[in-house]
Amino acid sequence: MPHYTSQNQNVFIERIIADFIGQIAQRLESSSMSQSEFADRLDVSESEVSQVLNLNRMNLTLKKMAQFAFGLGMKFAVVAYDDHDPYNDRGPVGSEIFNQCWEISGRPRNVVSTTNLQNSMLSVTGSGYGWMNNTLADPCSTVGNLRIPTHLLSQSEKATTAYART
Amino acid sequence: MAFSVHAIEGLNYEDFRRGVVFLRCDQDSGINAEAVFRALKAKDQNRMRDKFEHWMRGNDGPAHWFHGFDDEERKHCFVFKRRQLHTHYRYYGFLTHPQPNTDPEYWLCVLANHGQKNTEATDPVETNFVNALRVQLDVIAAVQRGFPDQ
Repeated sequence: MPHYTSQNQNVFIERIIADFIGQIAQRLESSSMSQSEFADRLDVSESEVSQVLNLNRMNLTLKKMAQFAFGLGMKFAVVAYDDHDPYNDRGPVGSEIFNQCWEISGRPRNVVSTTNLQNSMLSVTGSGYGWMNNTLADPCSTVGNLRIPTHLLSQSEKATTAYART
Repeated sequence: MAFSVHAIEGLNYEDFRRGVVFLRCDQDSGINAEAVFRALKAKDQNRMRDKFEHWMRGNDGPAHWFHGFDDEERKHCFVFKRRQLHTHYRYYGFLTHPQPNTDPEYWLCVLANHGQKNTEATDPVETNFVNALRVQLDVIAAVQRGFPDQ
């Protein structure tokens, strides 16, 4: 059965927006800020914030998304990825996957430091994170395909990698 | 009474460690979550699917989209929420491990009844109804038919 977001691009886009709003709503709930304080900070009405958080208003622009993220001390990214699912039978990968992979890998700020990512990935294999094991075991996964060529690693990193692989 | 569980069209059940299904029973008009969901406009159905999959992907909030209950009496109950203006719509269900042998960590939320109200607080009548269904042998058998275990 095809995923509901494969109906058309608008449905897909609304799902991505819902995913974003879910992150904002979770952050707001875990903060000490009320919905009305948040609205004041954004200089919008509480009704608008409520409509957005309840998924009753889905026409968010990138500018509006930035406003909501910045209002909670966050940033946001737009990531294009290839999950080998061209007909979108499985739906989009959730933002929490990208976020948790980034967190687990030590919050790298550049491509060079993704060597940390590779080590993290190797060390978490077999850990208690079911979703992580599934992701890593999936040869089609974007994260699973992230590989640093061995010739780019230092000798000590090669040794660490070789050890970790055993 | 004849119970059965049914997947929600368009959701991805393969990639996640949690699932949401509807309980169906033609003889009990109180089991109306699926009928109410199907009567929604396509757009509103998709907003509910967004919330179902948000939980299925492993998220435990935001609480104004869905939540469980901390107290002992309702610890197996779960609710998905929708709000339009001042009206609150609720889909109540119970949580279970449908395959304790095959996949003991898999969580299934079996949605049964729908409630509509103008206040935020949960009506205990709704969760009591779900709790009673949860232990009914016919309902347990329906879940087992839908999610066969070893």
